Amino acid sequence: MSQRPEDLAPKRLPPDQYRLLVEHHPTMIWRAGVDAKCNYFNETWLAFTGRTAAQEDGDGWAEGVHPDDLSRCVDFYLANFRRREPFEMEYRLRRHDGVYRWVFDRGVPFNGDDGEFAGFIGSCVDVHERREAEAAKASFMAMMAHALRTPITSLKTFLEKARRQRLRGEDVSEASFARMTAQTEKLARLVRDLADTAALEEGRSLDVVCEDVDFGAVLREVLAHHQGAGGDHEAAGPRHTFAVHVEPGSSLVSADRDRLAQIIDNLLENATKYSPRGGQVTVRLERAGTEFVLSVADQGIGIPGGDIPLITRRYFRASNSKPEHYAGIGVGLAIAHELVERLGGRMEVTSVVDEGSTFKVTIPATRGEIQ
Amino acid sequence: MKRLLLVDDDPDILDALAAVLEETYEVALAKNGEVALEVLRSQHVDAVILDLMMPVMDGATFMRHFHERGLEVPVIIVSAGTNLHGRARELRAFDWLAKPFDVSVLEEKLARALSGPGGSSPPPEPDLGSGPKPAKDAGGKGGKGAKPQRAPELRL
Repeated sequence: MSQRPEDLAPKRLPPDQYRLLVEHHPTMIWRAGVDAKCNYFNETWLAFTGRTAAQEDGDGWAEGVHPDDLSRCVDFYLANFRRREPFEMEYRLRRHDGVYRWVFDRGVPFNGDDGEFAGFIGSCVDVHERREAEAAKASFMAMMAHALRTPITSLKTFLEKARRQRLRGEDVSEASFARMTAQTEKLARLVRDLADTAALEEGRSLDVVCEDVDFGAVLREVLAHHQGAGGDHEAAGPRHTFAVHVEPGSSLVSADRDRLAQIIDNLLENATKYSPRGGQVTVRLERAGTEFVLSVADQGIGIPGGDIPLITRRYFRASNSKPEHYAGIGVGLAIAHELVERLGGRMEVTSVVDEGSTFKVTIPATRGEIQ
Repeated sequence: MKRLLLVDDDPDILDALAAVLEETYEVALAKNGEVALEVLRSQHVDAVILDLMMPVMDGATFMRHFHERGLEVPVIIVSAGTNLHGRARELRAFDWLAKPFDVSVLEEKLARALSGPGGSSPPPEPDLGSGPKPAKDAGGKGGKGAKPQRAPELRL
C-alpha cells in the first residue's frame, strides 16, 4: 500500500488549538495591519499591561512604552515597517503594577492569503533581569576603575615627590616609602578581590588550603596594618582607633592563613570605610565552647534592617551607602562570607542605622584546642 | 606664599597632594564640601582643588554655595568621575583634572589659575583623560510611578 503525500507532511494543528496556543503562550504577541496600527494582542500581553484590547489597539500600546524609549522605539518600528524587514528591539514597557520592565520585541512581516504584504506580527519577552545584570556589571566595572584611581593617584604623587627629593640631593623620607607601600597594598587587595569575584562568577570555589593557624596571631598581624593606615595630616582628621580584646592563650583553628587574614582585612576595611575618621572600631576574639568568635564593631552609618539579609550578596550596597560617597567595588563582605563558610564557620551581622554595625565570624577550633 | 584649599574625602589623596604642594604653597585641607565652606568663612585662600564625590557635602553642592557667596577664587576640579569637562563648565570651575593625574600637571594648572583673574577662564577642551559620557538610556532601570503618556500618532 503506498502512502499519499499528505500523510508524510507534519500533522497541522486545528485552528482552534492554534488560537489557544497563541492566546496563552508565555510570550506577549501582537499584530499590526498594513497601516502599522496594531489590531491584535494576546492574553499574555493584556495580562502584562493590565489594559484592554481596545486600549492597546491602534497606537494605544505606545502609551505604555517608557518616555525615554518611546521615540527610539517608534522610529525603529516604523522604519522597519516601511522596509518590510524583520526587526528586534528592547524597550521598557509599563506593567500592570506601574513598574517599567525591559522587554525584547521581535517583529516579522507576514503576507495575507493573496500573497501580498499584510502587516507585522511580533512577540515580546520580559528580559528585565538580564538587563539589570548587565547594568550591575557595567556599574561594577565603573566602580572598579574608580577604586583603582585613588591609590594610583596617591602612588604617582609620592613617586613624584621622591623623584624631586632625589634631584635636590635629599633622602627620600621613610614616610613616603610607607605611604607608597600602603597604596601598593591597597591595589594588591583590589586585584585579589577582583580575581576572587571572577572565580565566584564562574561558579568556582575560592582556593583554601587549611592548616593549624593561630587566629589571634593572624588578627594582630592584620590589625597592625590597619592601625598604621591613613594619612598623618591633622586636617584630614584623626585616624580610627582600635579597641582590641583578645583572650589570652592560644586560639588554634584549622584555616587557610592568607584567607583568614583576608576575612579579617575585609571586615576591618568595611568598619573603617563606613564609620567617621576618629571613630572607634572594637575588635574582640573570644572562645565560645568549641569555637572562636571574632567580632568587629564600628560606630558607622549602620545598615537598614531590610538590607541586612542582602549585605553579603555580591555587588550589593546598602540603601544608605551611595557609591559616590563610599568608594569600593561592593564585593568585600561577599568574599569574606564565602571564605568563612569555606572554613566551616559562619558570619552574622547586627546593625543599627546611624549607630553602627557588628560583624561576628565564628570559626571552629581545631581538635587539639578542644581537648 | 599663596594659599591653597584641598578638598577630598580620601585622606590618602589629601596626604599625597599636601606632601608635594606644601613645598610651594601653604595648604589647608578639608574632607568634604561642608568643612571647605567652613574654612573659606574664616580664611583667605587663593585657589581651591576640589573632589566631586564626597559624603556629607559633595563638590557640586559646595560649588553652589561657593557661587551664592560670590566667591571669586579659581577652583580646579580633580575627580575620578566622567564627563569632567562638562561638569567643570556647568559648575563654573576654572579647570579640571581626571584622577589619576600627574601632580606636575596639577601644578601647571594651579600656576595658570593663580596668575589670571579668578574663575573667569573657561575650562579647556577635553583631553584623553575626560572619559566618555555614559549613554543616556543604557541599562536604565524600570522605575515606578511615571504617568501614562498619550500615544503618539504613528504614521508610515
